[in-house]
Amino acid sequence: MKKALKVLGKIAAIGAAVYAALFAVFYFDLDGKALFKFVEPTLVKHYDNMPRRDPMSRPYGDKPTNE
Amino acid sequence: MADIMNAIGKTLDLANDLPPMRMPDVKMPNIKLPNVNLPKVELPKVDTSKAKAAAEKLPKFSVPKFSLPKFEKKAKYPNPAFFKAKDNMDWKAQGENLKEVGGIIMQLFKEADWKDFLLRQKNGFAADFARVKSEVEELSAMTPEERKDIFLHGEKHLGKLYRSGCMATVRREWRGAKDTAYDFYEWLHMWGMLLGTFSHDLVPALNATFHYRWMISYMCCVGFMDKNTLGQKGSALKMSHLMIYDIFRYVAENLVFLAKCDEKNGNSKELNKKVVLFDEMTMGQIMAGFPDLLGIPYQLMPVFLVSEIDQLTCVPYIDAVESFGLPADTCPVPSSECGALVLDALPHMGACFISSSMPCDGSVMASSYMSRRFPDLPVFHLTFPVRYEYEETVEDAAEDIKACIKFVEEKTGAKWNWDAYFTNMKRFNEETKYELEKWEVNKTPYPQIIGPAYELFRKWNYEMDGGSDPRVPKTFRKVDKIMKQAYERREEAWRGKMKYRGIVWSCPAHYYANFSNWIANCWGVDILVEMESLNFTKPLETEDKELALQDLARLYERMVMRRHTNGGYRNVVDELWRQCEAWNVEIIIMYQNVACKNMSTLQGILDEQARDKGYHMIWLEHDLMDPRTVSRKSMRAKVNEYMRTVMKAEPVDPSLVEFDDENAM
Ligand code: SF4
Repeated sequence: MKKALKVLGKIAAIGAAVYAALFAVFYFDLDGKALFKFVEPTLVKHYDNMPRRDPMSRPYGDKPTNE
Repeated sequence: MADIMNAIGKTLDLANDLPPMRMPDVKMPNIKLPNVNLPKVELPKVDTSKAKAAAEKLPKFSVPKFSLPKFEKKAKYPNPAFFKAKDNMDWKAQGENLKEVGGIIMQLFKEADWKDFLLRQKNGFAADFARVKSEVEELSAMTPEERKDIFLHGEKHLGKLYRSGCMATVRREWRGAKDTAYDFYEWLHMWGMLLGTFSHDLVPALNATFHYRWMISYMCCVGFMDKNTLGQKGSALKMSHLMIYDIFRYVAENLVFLAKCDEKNGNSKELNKKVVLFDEMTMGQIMAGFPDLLGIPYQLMPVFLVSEIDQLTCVPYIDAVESFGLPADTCPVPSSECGALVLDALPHMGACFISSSMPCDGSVMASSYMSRRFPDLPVFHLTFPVRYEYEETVEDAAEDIKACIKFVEEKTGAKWNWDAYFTNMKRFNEETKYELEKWEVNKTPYPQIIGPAYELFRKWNYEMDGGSDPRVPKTFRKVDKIMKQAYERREEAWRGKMKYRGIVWSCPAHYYANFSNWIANCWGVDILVEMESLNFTKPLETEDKELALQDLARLYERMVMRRHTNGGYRNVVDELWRQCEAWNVEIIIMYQNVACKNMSTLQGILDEQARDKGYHMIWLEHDLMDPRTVSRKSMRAKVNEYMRTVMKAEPVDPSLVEFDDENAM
C-alpha cells in the first residue's frame, strides 16, 4: 500500500513538474522565442543558399504544353 | 361567455381552497365462494384435409426478409489513404539537404560572435528583468481589490506585451486565472494537433520545411492564434479557439499533403494522381462531387494564408516579380502568386489545376504565369460572367461548371458522384444556417461573436471547406450553443470594451489580419461583420441535378471580393448603406488597398454619401500583402487620429495607442 502511494506520489510530482514546465513555456512565449531566435535565423540562411530554378535560364525550345 | 369563464375560475379557486379530504377506514368481510363441478363437453371432430388441400392451391406469399441497415463506419476525413500513399523520395537529395542544414548550424556555431551573442542575451535579460520589476512595482502599488481583480479578470494594458524589434511577444497575456488556464489548454491542444498531423508523414513535412521559406511561418501559427484572441475572455475566447483550431487543422493536413506530393519532397506519384489543384480564389465546393480525389487550394498555403500569419512572407515574392518588370501598383494578390513562381516557392505537384478569372483580372495573369511555370500541368480556366445578378448568365456559368467537371474526370479518371455532392451541400447548407444565426445575434444590442477569428473562420468555411469536412458542423453547433448562452446572459463579447458598433468594408490588409482585435482592445470599436462575410447565403439545391449546377454557379459568382468589389455600384455602395442599417453601426472602417483599381474609383462617392448619411467613415490605406507601403503602425495612426480629433474619444487601453510591431509576425 505504502509502495503504491509512493509510486502515485512520484507520478503526481512528475506530472506537476511537466505541467509547470509546459506552463512556463506557454506563459513566457518560449515556443515563439525559440522559433524566432534560433530556428528562423538558421533556416533563413539555408533558404538563401539553396539553388533555385531560374526562369531566365529556360531554354527557348521549352514550350508550354498545358492543355 | 366571460361570465361563465369567471364562474369556472372562481369555482376552481374555491376548490383549491378546500381542505384535503380523508377517506374513512372501511373493513371488508371475508367471503368464501362455493366449489362448482363443471360438466365435460366433447367437441365434434372436423375433417381438415379438404381445407389443407385448398390452402395448398393458393399462391404462396413469401414474407420479405428485412435486414437492418448496416451502420457503416463513419468515413474518416481526410481519407486516411491519402496520408498512407507511398512516397517516392529522392533520398540522396534529401540527404544533401539535411547535410546542408547541419553544416549551417555548425557554421553558425563556429562563426557566431559569441561576445555579441552574450551581450544581446544580457540585454534581453536586462529588459526582461526591468519589465518584471516594473510589473511587480505596479502590482505592489495596487490595492488588494485591484490585485484580486487582475488575478481573476486579467491584465488591462496589452501594449506592454510587445517589444520594439522583436518578432515574438515578451510573454503571453494574463487573462485571469480561469481564462489563462483555458488558453493554456488550447495552446497544448494546438501544438498536439500540429505535431500529430505532421507525424502522419514526418519526413516529407520536415523536408518541405527545409525547402520552403513559407513553411517556417506556419510554425508560428500559435503566435497568430494569440494575436487574434488578445483581450478575449470567457465565451468569446472559447468560440475563437474553437474556430481557429478548425482552420489550422485544415492547414496542417494540407501542408502534409503538399509536402507528400511535391516532386522535390515526398514525390508521391500515387497521391499526385488524385490531387486536383485550384487557385486560392476558386472555391472548394466543386470537389464535393469527387469524394475519391483530394482538392487543394494550391496557392493558399504558400501565399495567401501565410501572409496573414507572417506579415513579411510575401515581401520577397513581390520584389522578385517587380524586378522582372511587373508594375509596383499591381494588386499584391496576383503579384505575390507570380513572385512565388519566380522564386520557385510553389511545390510541383498534382494531376491538374483549376484556375479562375476571380475575383478580378489579376488572377488571369497569375494563372497564365502558373501554367507557363508548370507546362506539364493541365489547366482549366473557370471564367464566370461578372454580371452575376443577370439570371440569364447563370446557364452560361453552369455550363462552365459542367465543362470543369468533365475536365477533372478526364484528367484523373474519377467519376462525378451526385450523392457525395448532395451530402456535402446539405452539410454546407446547415453551416450557412448557423452562420445566419450569428448574424442575427450580432445585429442585436448584445453582439457575441466578434473579432478576427470569426472573420477568418467565415471566409475559410465559405471558400475552402465548403461543407467537405464532416468534423466542422460540430464546431458550428458548439459555437452556436456558447453564443446563445452568452447572449441569454447578455455577456459583453469584449469585456468593458463595447463602445462603438463598427463594420469593415472593402478588401482587408492581409498583413494586419488581427486589426479588428486591435481596434476593439484599444478604442472599443467592435467590428460586427466584414464585407467579405456577407456573401451567398441561399441554401444550395440538393435534389435536382440541373438546378444544383445552377446554384453552384451562383455561389461561385459571389465569391469573396467578387460579390462586392467587382459587383458594380449597387453591390458595393448601396449594399454598404443597407448593411449599415441592418447592423446598426456608427463607424465604417473603409479599407483602401492602394492597388485595388476597382475600389479606388468609388472613394469620392462613398465619402460623400457617408457624410450625408451621418456615418463615421475611417479610410485605412494599405497594400494588402506588402507592409512596407503602409505599415501596421501607420494604419493604427490613422484610426488614433480620427478617434481623438473627430470622435473626441479616450482610448480604452492607452498602452495600445502606440507600440512597435514592425518586425512582429
Ligand atoms: S484587392 Fe482588389 S484588385 Fe486585388 S484581388 Fe481584390 S478586388 Fe482584385
